[in-house]
Amino acid sequence: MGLFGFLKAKAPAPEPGRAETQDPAREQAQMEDLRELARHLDEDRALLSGALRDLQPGMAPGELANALFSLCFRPLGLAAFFLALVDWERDALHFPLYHEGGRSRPRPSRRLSESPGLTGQTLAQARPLYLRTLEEGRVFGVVLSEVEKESGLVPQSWYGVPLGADPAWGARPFGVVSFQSFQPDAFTESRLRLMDALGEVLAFALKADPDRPFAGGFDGR
Amino acid sequence: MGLFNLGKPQGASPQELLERVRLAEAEAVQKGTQLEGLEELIRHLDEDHEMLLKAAQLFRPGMEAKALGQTLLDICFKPLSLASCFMALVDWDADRIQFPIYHEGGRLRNQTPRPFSEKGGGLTGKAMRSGGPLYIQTLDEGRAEGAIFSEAERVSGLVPQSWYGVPLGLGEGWGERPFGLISYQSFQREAFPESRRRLMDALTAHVAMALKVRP
Repeated sequence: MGLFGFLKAKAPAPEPGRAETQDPAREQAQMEDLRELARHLDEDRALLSGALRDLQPGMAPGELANALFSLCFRPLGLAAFFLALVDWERDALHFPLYHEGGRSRPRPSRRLSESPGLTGQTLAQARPLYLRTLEEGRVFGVVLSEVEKESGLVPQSWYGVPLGADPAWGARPFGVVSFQSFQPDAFTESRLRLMDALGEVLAFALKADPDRPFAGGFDGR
Repeated sequence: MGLFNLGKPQGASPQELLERVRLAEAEAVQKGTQLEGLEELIRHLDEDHEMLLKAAQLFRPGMEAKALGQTLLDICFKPLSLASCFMALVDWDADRIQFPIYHEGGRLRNQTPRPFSEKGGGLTGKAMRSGGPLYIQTLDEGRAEGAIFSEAERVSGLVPQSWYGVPLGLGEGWGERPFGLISYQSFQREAFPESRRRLMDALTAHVAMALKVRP
């Protein structure tokens, strides 16, 4: 379902037998709501179009993640963002980009089975994981970074999108992109869908190979 | 001035009252126009938003070109009010162009592969050689730029006025030359504003990655 219609659905119907009156305050509020919705949709469209323009095949995973991060950090109001890639054979989780506390930081690889954290949960269930508060995150086994432990500044909302979760990609996802905010329950349903789509674009860019022949071959050959 | 002032007419002359009514009516018309404009903008943005989200949901690795093209048609044909749409893939070394999907005259048609260099490749060849999207806004412009008309177009005389072609594989990460093109066409002249062309660029970039992804 599109977002349009949301505002109409929200507006109460006039009482039966009574004509709808013109209330300037209500009209003003409705206009403001519409402007806000237009801003929101425009931002989302710009984010998706920007990702499809800037994420190019051949870029290193860290570069791709950084390009996505640059696009969405402000519009999504993020506190932290990372890309994790999993090596299932070696039971290792690598972080080509880990942005927190206002800058990118090196994050050592870790054994997935020893310390799965929220990333491991997202990989295991092969679908997005949304935690709305830090308390919820603790229940799910969040692994806090050194910076988070030292500063006490820990994002409340955590959204992880598995990369390559669809069976067409393979048996298991190959990574996770995580979007985090200091606000509790920061991400609306429409924003979650947007982040899912951004995760898909990132997955395609990570795995696109310009030299690969088309599926089915050229002209059926 | 709002309508509330009409509740205090004491001392106002009939002419003043008429003036107030006239102003209030003008204000209401202006607000109505603003509201309609905003609603139209939101419809447009919402449509674009949905097309991009659907592409992310439905394009899957390993899909063949024909299936991807059909999915693209399902996503954008109606919202973009297209008359025709096709995907062309080019083998530069073999001088061959093929059309995994070719939709015109209300249905999918088989378009025979042909030498890419034939008649300069038409608008598709022009766009691919220029290495960027090509926007033709009228049929006359299309003729001047070397459009090649299909059999159905020649027979029916129904030829799209607007033609927007976006090469597949544009950008630094791709090879030297694009490997194909998607063409979006409309019977309307100047049918595609800047924002819609950016949307078509994005959809095409997504198709390009989906065609070349290694699961």
